[in-house]
Amino acid sequence: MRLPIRVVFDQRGEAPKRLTALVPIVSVLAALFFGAIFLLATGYSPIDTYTNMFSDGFASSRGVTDTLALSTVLICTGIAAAFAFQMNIYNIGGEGQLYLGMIGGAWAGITLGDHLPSLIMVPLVLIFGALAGALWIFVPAFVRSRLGTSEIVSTLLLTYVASSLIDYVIYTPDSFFRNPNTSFPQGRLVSASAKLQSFGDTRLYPTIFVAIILAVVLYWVVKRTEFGYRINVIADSPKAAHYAGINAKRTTMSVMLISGALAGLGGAMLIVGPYGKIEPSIVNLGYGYAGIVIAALARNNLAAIVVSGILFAGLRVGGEKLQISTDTPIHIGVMLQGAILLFALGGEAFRRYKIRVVLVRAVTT
Amino acid sequence: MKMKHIKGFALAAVAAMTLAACGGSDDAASDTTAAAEAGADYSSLKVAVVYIGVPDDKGWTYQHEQGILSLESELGIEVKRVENVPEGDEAEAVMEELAAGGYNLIFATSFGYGTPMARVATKHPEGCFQWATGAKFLLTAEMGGEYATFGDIPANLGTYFGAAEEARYLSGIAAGKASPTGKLGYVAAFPIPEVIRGINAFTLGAQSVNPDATVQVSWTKTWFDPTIEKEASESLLDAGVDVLGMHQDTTAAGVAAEARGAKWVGYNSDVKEAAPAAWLTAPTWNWGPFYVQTAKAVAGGTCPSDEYYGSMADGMVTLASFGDSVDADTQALIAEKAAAIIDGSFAPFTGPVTDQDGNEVVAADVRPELLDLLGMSYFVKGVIGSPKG
Amino acid sequence: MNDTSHEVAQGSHHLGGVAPTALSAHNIVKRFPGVLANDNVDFDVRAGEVHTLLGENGAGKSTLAAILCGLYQPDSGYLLRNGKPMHLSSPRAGLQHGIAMVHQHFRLVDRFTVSENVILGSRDLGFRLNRKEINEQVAAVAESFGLPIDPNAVVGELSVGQRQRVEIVKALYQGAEILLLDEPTAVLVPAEVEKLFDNVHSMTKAGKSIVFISHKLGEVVEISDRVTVLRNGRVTGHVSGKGTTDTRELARLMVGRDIELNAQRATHPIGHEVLQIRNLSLSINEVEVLSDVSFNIHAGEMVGIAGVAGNGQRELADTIAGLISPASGSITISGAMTTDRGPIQAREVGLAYVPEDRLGMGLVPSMSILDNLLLTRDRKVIVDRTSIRPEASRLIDQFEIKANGPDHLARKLSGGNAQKVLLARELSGGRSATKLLVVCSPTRGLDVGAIETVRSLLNDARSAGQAILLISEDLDEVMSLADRILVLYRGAVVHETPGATASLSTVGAAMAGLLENGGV
Repeated sequence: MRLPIRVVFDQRGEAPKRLTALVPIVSVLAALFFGAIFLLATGYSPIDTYTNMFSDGFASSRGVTDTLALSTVLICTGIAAAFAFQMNIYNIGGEGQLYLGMIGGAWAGITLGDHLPSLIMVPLVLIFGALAGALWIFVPAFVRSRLGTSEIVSTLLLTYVASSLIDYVIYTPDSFFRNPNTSFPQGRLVSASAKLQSFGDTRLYPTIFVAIILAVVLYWVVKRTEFGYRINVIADSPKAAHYAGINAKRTTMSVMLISGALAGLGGAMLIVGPYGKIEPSIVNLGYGYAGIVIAALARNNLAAIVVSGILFAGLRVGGEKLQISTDTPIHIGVMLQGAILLFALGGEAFRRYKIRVVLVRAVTT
Repeated sequence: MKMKHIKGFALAAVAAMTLAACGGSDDAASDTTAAAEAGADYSSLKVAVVYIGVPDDKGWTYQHEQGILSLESELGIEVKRVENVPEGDEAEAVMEELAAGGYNLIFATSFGYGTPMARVATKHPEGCFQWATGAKFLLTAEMGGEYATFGDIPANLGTYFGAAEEARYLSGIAAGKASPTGKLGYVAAFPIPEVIRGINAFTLGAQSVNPDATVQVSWTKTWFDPTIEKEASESLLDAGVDVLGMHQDTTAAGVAAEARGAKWVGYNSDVKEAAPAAWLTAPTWNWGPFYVQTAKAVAGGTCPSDEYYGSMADGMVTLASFGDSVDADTQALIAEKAAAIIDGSFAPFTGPVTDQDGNEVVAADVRPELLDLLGMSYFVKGVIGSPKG
Repeated sequence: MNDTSHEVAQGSHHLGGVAPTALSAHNIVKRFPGVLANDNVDFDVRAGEVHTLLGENGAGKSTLAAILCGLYQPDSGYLLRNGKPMHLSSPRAGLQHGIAMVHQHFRLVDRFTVSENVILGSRDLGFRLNRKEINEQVAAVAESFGLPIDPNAVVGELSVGQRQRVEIVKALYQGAEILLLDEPTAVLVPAEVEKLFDNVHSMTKAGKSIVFISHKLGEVVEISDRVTVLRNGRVTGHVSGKGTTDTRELARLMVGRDIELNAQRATHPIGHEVLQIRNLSLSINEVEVLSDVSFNIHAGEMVGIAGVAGNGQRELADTIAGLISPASGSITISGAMTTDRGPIQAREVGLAYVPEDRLGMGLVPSMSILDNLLLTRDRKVIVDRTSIRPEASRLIDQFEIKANGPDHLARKLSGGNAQKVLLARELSGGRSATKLLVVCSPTRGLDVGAIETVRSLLNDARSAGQAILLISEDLDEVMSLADRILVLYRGAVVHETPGATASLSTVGAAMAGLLENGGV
């Protein structure tokens, strides 16, 4: 005996505009509702938990600056991922390109010495980080654009190599990137002029503005420029690009190199910002992988990455601090983060389909 | 997830200060005890601990949790635990939140918490900060840190760690006795002095009962990755070793040894149940006494700012229970050596010690300086593999 | 289930039984977002007859067919099979009631043999396959309906007509009593169409019912016992009896107004040479697709290329448009050599190209009409959309494109309107004034009204002195429009004839490869 109901998914011709805006909001609310059931079932107060999570991540002054500080690198890896994704190029190696950005930035920060003023030195470190990130994606970009080889596999594999490279430059005894004065595996500090000052008492660095401006500029590039036009044509239909004489190989190459550079820039921002040296623990933080989720949350909209990056950072900061403000174990915080992300991504289904439950008339044959 | 307790020392001039601060563990213990007994009011004390992992990992964090539990029961206070805190910048946010929230004694259980903890300690002179596995001189500019001189490092920051090599030597005896072939293996995380020192101590212990014993090293470049650790273990077993030692945070090596009928020396915790047949013993940590003493000192108004280096003598370093296959004779032999280590009549690296190339690195009957031990970057004779990773 | 012993035809439009009603649909309503695809539609088919569903694209005939075979479920209304109500939850349920659909795009596995494809999806096969027995069964089914086919042939090696036959045999083998043929002639050459119609007759003779779905008036009149005409989701007419109605009447029912389909070849002067092709050869994956092709086109002249799909037409167009580099030979447009120079170079000397694949090649589906107009133009570094907007609006008006304005997305356009956008762009010139227009299958899939517009646009362009290369699989179109006809067979021009005096049988024979030595 089958239930006399069916769930019908009717594809929407075009998602209504208001739904596009509404779905993420409803998704977050749904996630909070789901989380509340979970919290109640495990004996925690949903209201206390949410209040604290929100104030730890977004509302208190320390929460805001901590969240923005973390979002700086996440916005970079987010736009790195989204910039490639919107052309259906899946650079999932932002993590590795981020490591290379750290290495490239550290190299510039150490080598270019102390005689340059900060105003020149900091941009140079950022540029070298971006170049290193681009360099790291060069081979995947080349084989993807020329031979069509899947960038998913190549960029991911190179992330493992990049992770080993971080270990190598830090744990090899005579490594250039290692402090020469100790047998201890410590990164070598960049020159003082390559380091930025954080704002006042906070951990927030001016690089946040670079990240936000970049996101907005790239959004504009995609919407308004010839380069963006080409990206949109190739993304939707490579055949149309070929028809119109658009060089897809070159555009693919450019997009991938820019994507890698953006992730690399994120790594270099960690050098001029909080670290000042290569931190081997970077390989445990997953900032590059987080960029993929952030891009998905923003539906690859480059300007929206600013919002989704800050949201993601706030959830992470709030989740960590939740253990302090309440006695909620870290697992609950992580679970809530996961639920919000999952619902936000799953909300896509509601945007694309009209979902109805219908009664099926009994069949008498 | 778990990058942690890395330990090593430089042979630089700055280290002299460190050595002075390291001093004898007995001094530190008696000081704090005296302070605590003077006034037993702990109401002003708010203690927090920052964990790199989770307390039920049956490894590094689990051992710290045991210490924290004993602190709680002995002082009748509650300790705030913050778990799974990534090293680096985000840890600073967490510790800042703690310090601003009135926690005046904060323990951080991983090496990568050093810089963030020092920054928070600078901003919160009212708090007391204790950095496990750390070394304060690494915070100086010369070593790549943020403080111009050693004197600039905040005085409300202390470090704590211990001489695991003593227990590693003893576990090496059990391993040497358990190996018919004399071919031992060692699954090791990173090529840093702490790990190298442990491998050497383990090797010397094994050679004390089987002079021909060799120890083959496999580097995993990870502290915590069951898959990689398992693969490294299996490749060692494939190469013919019959006992595995390790410097890792999971029991993967033990499980691999158990499956092949080999023996296993664990680390961190007494987890015989993970591989009952393979289990010989393990060097473990007992952080409780240190945590209790430190908390009492802070309650008494003193923040220990020294670099505490514990040992078997003060109980910070211990050996876990023996497996069923360790016979009474071996146990007696190990107990005898342990007693000698504790009373100071024996030390694992007493000469003559030769390195892999046959050079004498410690002359006969000489005990190396602590600094020499802490900066150790060579393998002793009998170790197969490179200390450079 | 297939009990035909009693008929309960309760439909309001009961026409008096020559044969019992096998399947009927009553008051069918089906909505899609923004579209009422079927609005209270009634339809029935009797045993042994051909009942045609006629309508323009988007009239709702495919939706109705999908409901009849169980692919869609109606929002309201009901189906009767031999007078009994039934609910079809899936095509498999449809099959259990003896109803099967032969889709326009075949659903066959190329690497399997005919009989493997035929038995694919049959449930009661048992564990082991007795190949010999199945081959015999398949051959027997095919034979009995006059559909001879080798059960051991690999489907990938069959012609389009043969593959269609496999689809039909498959439906019959699965016990279909009612076959829905969705635009079955769209992919066939004239000779194959005739064969298909023979097969249809032998099936109806055996008592099968055929629901024939088409928008081609000529063949509808030829094959149908009854015709139901749909427009905008509603039934606009029931016509019964073979030959009792003329195409003009059906067209009026379809479109809602009188139309003229056979655009006249206008008398016009032929000018100077615009396109010159010399000894063009091309191989793709070591297969020769163009072989020593030479011809030219003059200003004000329309040259038609006839041929069965896959004989090099598409590659010829792509090569002229600069998308493919030929192995040898030369292409000259307006006196400028464009061989191997890429599409932009070709456009700069006056090429315009309307590819067969409209949405996805000629137009970018997710882009607006405005952005699509920019596709073949010079766009500057920062795309200037403001200055082209008035032109976009003007073209929308001029070409009578049904859209909400320049920002209307291409993918939301109907097939006919998409084609108009494409023509609007290509005829209005981009990098230079259009001198040579290459068009592929310009009216394929369009409704009658749109076909009329597109053909007159092409005539206007010719009158304006543009040289036109018309490549189409619709032979009628080529015959009625082109000044000169070339037949491509296996990449070579095998026949050339003036359009005015072209004979259908000779051109048809050339297309089938029976004239390889004749012609040119």
